[in-house]
Amino acid sequence: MRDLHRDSRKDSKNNGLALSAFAVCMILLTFASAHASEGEKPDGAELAKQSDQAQRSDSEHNVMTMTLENSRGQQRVRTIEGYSKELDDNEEHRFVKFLKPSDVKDTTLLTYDYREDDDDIWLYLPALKKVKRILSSNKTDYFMGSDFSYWDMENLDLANWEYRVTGDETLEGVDCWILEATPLNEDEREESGYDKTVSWIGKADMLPRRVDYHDTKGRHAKRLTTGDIRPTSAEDDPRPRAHRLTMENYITKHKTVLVMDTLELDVTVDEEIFSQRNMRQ
Amino acid sequence: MTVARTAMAGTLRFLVLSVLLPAASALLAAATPADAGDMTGYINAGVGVRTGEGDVVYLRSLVNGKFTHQATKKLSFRLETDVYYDHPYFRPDGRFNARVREGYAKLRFKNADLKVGRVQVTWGDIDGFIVADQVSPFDLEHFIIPPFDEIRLGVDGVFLDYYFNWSYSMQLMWIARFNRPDLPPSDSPFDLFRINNIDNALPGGLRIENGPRRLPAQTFENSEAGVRFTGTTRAADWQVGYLYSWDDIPYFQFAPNATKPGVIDAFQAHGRYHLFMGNIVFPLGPTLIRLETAYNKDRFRNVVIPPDPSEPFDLAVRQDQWVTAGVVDFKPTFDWWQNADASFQVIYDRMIDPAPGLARVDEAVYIGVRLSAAYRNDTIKPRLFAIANTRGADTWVQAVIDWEPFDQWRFSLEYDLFDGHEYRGFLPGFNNAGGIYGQFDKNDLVVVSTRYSF
Repeated sequence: MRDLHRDSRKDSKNNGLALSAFAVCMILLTFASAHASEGEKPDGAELAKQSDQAQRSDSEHNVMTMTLENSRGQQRVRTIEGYSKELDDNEEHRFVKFLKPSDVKDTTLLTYDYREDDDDIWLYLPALKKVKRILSSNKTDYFMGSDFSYWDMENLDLANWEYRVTGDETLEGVDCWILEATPLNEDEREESGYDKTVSWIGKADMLPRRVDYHDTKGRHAKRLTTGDIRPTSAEDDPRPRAHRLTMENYITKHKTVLVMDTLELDVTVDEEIFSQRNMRQ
Repeated sequence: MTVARTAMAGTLRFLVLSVLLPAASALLAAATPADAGDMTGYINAGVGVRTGEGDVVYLRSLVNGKFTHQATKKLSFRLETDVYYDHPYFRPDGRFNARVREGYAKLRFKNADLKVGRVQVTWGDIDGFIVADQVSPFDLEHFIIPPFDEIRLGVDGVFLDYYFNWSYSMQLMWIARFNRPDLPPSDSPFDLFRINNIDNALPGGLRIENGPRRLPAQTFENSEAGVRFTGTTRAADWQVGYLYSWDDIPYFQFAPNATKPGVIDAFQAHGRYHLFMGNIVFPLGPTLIRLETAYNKDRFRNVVIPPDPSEPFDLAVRQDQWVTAGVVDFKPTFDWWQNADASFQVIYDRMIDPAPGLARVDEAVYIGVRLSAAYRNDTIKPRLFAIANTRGADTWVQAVIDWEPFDQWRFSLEYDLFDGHEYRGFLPGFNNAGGIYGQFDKNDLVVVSTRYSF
């Protein structure tokens, strides 16, 4: 996912909890403007860069259902609502609220995401009645018990990864480019926890259909599969997005399914949403 | 035989209630119409056994309910209640109790929120040690075995939060009356505030009996007030506050019993004091620094040398106290330590110009550590908290494992280790070791609990 969202923004920034419902949506970055002519392999880095530009929206609102399923088929379900707003090229605000289940209900995360610096993150736990500034998570940690690591869900910098189109393949009837990404330095490798990612990108709509993650022990650790690709919930918005994401962890035999119940792009989001006052409401 | 019967009856009641209370709550939640408001809460059943004594000292079934209702865009209501049943075996009988932890109406204006009623107020940002968080009282019946967020109680009054902008705000509060903390009974092994050898200072040959707790009269003059300014900037978050309050920590008053010759009554009483607090939290490299300070002015404390020799039973003085905490939060990076969080804290507690014979430690430094992790997709969450007085004989270690295999269910296993003894430094021949944690040396215990959230 990450390799599909690189935007040459942060270098070694610990974005951690910056993962948000919004960030999850961002994994659907497409490569809309990076078409290559038939039979000609596009340049990987250029493809990623242009797709990032094509996928940006000034603001977003979403409600998603996150289902965690273990190897015995037992499920745990979370419902999350998120807002995001890009203030300018250097700063983005994100607000995430847990709606279900009851033991995490009303827990909120507020992230001020700076392009060049570490994020500011606040957590509101309703039982504690206070907003706490917290540290960003390690990028290899998993978000809220899911199989998405924080690294998986954040924006990338093109500078530290090398992209290469290795071929093409038809995946469930969709012609895709196969894009391989490898870290350019040891710091990035350790930070991400990956040796390599391989992505299948739809040639027609430039949306990712699959991403394979290979960890630093050389194992094929995880696979992301996207589905239910269609226009967003907003009326008169033809932009397609995947509304279903499945991350399978082959090491733990656990999987996470994210379903976008609501996804709206470029909606009006009052800046008050991103305030500590709103976290306590 | 009687003891065994009592124990069996208590256990039976505990088990029955553990089933009935959850069922009743779940039914209530299910029966609440969707447009009537939002109801959440939890049912918790826990039992704690002292490993040394082998007795049950904590046995509580509790139902917590939170109800919120948005009447209009500007007006909302909130109610949080606890209904619980206690039957630790140091009590002859079990005891039902109910309390309203919060119950208020909230008016939302463009730049302000106004709450009227009972509200839980949190000041400061330090976990596991009370520095500035002195507005709301706590349920200390079982010391602080339950987490802080479950033992904070509300205060009754009017609370105004005014927002200058998204970064700066002011909180004004008027608390109509003294809301007392729940303190352990004198026969509880968790009894926090004991006479603790102060009786050595009383004239010899007298017998001391515990009298009723003396609480301030519920008058307007006895109300409390406070103000706090809060800033949230990119560089740091900060708070500065002042509170004129009644002290939740009691001191002892002594008086000859009017009807029993040779008997001295000891009363737990509460005094007025001033709290000045400040707090700042800021990132520093890969760490987060938390600094918090509280200056407690004119707190009543006991002494073993009467300030006025002609008043031998008057064993209390006003003292200024300064408590400061420094905490470093960071995230260790080890493969085996998943979702790691760690923090180290240093707390400095000092009495300013301590009175001769002050019946508590006049200066202490506490070192604390807090570690936590999460494994197997956050279904297994171990955590460890340890704090120790650098003077020795005053240590508490708490290790907990939460297991959350299903949504809404949590099973916990907790071990608490106390080491040391009470503080006796004001007596001849004793050094400054010992203290609040050490006094529970015999209270090492294992706690098992189950929680269902609805």
